[in-house]
Amino acid sequence: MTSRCLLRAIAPALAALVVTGPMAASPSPPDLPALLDEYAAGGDRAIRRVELLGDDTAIEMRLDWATLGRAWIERDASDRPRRLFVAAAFALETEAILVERGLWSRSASRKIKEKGKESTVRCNGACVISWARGLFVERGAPDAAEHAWWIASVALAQGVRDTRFLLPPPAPSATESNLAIAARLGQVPNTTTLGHLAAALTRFPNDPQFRLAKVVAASARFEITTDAAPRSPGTGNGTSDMALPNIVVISRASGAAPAVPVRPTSAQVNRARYAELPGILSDFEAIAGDATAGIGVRTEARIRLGYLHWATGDSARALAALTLAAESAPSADLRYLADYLAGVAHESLGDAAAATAAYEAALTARPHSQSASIKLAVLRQLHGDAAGAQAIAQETLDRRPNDADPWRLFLYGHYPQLPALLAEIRLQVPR
Amino acid sequence: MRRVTPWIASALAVLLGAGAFAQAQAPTFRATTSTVVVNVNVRRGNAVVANLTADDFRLTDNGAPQQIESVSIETMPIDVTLFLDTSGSTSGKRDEMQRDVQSVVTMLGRDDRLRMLTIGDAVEVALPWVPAGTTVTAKFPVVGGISLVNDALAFGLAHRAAPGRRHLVVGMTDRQDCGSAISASQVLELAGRTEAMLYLVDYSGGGDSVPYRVRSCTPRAAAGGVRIIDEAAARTGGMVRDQSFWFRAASIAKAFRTILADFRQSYVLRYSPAGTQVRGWHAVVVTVPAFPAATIRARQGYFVD
Repeated sequence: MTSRCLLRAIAPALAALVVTGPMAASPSPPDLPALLDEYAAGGDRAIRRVELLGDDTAIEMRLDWATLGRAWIERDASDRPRRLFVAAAFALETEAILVERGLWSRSASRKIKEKGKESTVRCNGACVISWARGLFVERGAPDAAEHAWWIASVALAQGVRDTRFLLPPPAPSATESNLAIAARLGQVPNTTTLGHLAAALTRFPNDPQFRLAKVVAASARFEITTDAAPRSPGTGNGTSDMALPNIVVISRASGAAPAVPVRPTSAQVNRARYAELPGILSDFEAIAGDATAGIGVRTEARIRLGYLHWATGDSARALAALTLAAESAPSADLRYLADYLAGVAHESLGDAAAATAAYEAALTARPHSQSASIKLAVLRQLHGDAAGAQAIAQETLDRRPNDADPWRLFLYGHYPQLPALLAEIRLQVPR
Repeated sequence: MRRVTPWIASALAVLLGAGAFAQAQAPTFRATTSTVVVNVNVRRGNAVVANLTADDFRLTDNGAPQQIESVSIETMPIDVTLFLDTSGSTSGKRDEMQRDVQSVVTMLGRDDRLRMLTIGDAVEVALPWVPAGTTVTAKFPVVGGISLVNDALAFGLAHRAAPGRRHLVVGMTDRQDCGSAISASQVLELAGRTEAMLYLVDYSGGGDSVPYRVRSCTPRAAAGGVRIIDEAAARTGGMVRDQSFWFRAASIAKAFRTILADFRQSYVLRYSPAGTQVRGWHAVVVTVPAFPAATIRARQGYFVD
């Protein structure tokens, strides 16, 4: 091919590139006020634009909230309450996009000058959500729309297991310092000394959903492991090793932190943290028995109580809580979880027949869910029914459910419901 | 080939009945009740020791010497379950994984077949059972924050090849589990109840370059989980190809070729257990007295439930 032919061949592509520009691959820095206008007008265009941003550009936008976002809010005093809500909602939606890319913790940084002195402001996902929640204080009395926002923001933080953000931080972190700077500059209200859930409870005192989320976050500091010491071949009797529970304390609040075994090897090291467990258990019990809480909240509290009892080696109490939860579960997912975890507890007690029945009950609530199916298949195989195990395994692989396994949802907190929660918030935006 | 576990279960039903009296008899196998299959690999250095016969092997079942009924270098068709760990920690090798799947399929024998399992938010069938020679296209995402290694191995080991076929499970994985319903110890127990051979390739290339969308890595496997999974492979007569210099330069296709050759060069011993207790763990020990310096890798035993 001659160079002229080659040029002719690639000319249309070059022309298309020139016309369309490199937007998709390398978008221009976002114009936050314009995005807020679009979002306030309704529709998904503003969201789509953020989705097209490169990681660095999207992160950079975090630093614009306190300045450009604030300016957009103040642009029309008569529309201020609505603008406060729109800004908070859009901030949450953009952070949800960044979380899906794994960018919650990554900070944008910018040098600023204050009284001639230069300093660096950094802002990550927690920083943006903290800024956004402060807008509600300015907006006035809490309402249903604000409640929906808090529920969604808690779900987001549960998804990234950021307990440092959800609960009162033990010490000022970099994020708090940065926000303190911003607060001094009058750019954000200084609410950052509170954990996110404590802040939610100042807006909605005694709200059962936030109380439950607070205890869930506290329990998320304990990382549950599925395994224990291997049995020697000569002692195998077909039951699982879950009779030796293992619970570890994570030394930092994030789920990715190094785990230090508490039981049975390093109890002294983490005794203080481990001592929190009884309080967490009683908090779960209190919510489970709170008649003012909705049945969904009470059932989830019972399920999480049961799981924690199991993890601490008390399978009998676990079963008591899980049985109650199964009886009262208002949804298939909660029913599934209660029965699935009851199966796990039965296994720990060495009762394979009861475990099998519990897993089968779970699958009645949510057919073909993989966690109970593989548990059932393994139980069958460990008790001599290899053909039955194969049939279950093959059928499970063949019929992949369309929706996520409730057991996985349990591990993510309420994060899997985030798209629905965000949709609810959009409906609350006054147009 | 007859299967041990269901056959023994049937035999137990006859021999023991359902009562405590029967259990108290401490029954033993009769020579005709079942056949146990043991895969054995015999090597001197890197070379396979060939042309061995039944008389060359000594086999004990829970310490009781057994009569080996047949020895063969198997030509039976193979069911291959290939498990590719597509969690975040292996993300750097995704392109290689997708490219090499076709090469792997071309290595199969005429009547062999293969399926491929991967990990997403669940264990997934990236490729259903396909016969040798099939043109395949495997596309799969790499998912960070969750790594259902144990569940995938349990699904793999649950498959029973049809009579006249063998089952090879190859796991390309770093064995770092998080989020599985099944524990490593349960995988180990399953390994004592399968006739499949489990080979693992320490596949940790690429690091955790896929950021966690959300941190779902809980419950995570306790420390020691990797060792337990490795023990499971050894129990089946398989092995772990670690991150040796050999593998760092090797592709999935090359690693698979080596494993397939190792599997095909294994002797398959069959015997009917005699003079040993029925229930529980049966430790199997194989030796080749004529080659005392040989390296022998064999199924380490089996459970009777």
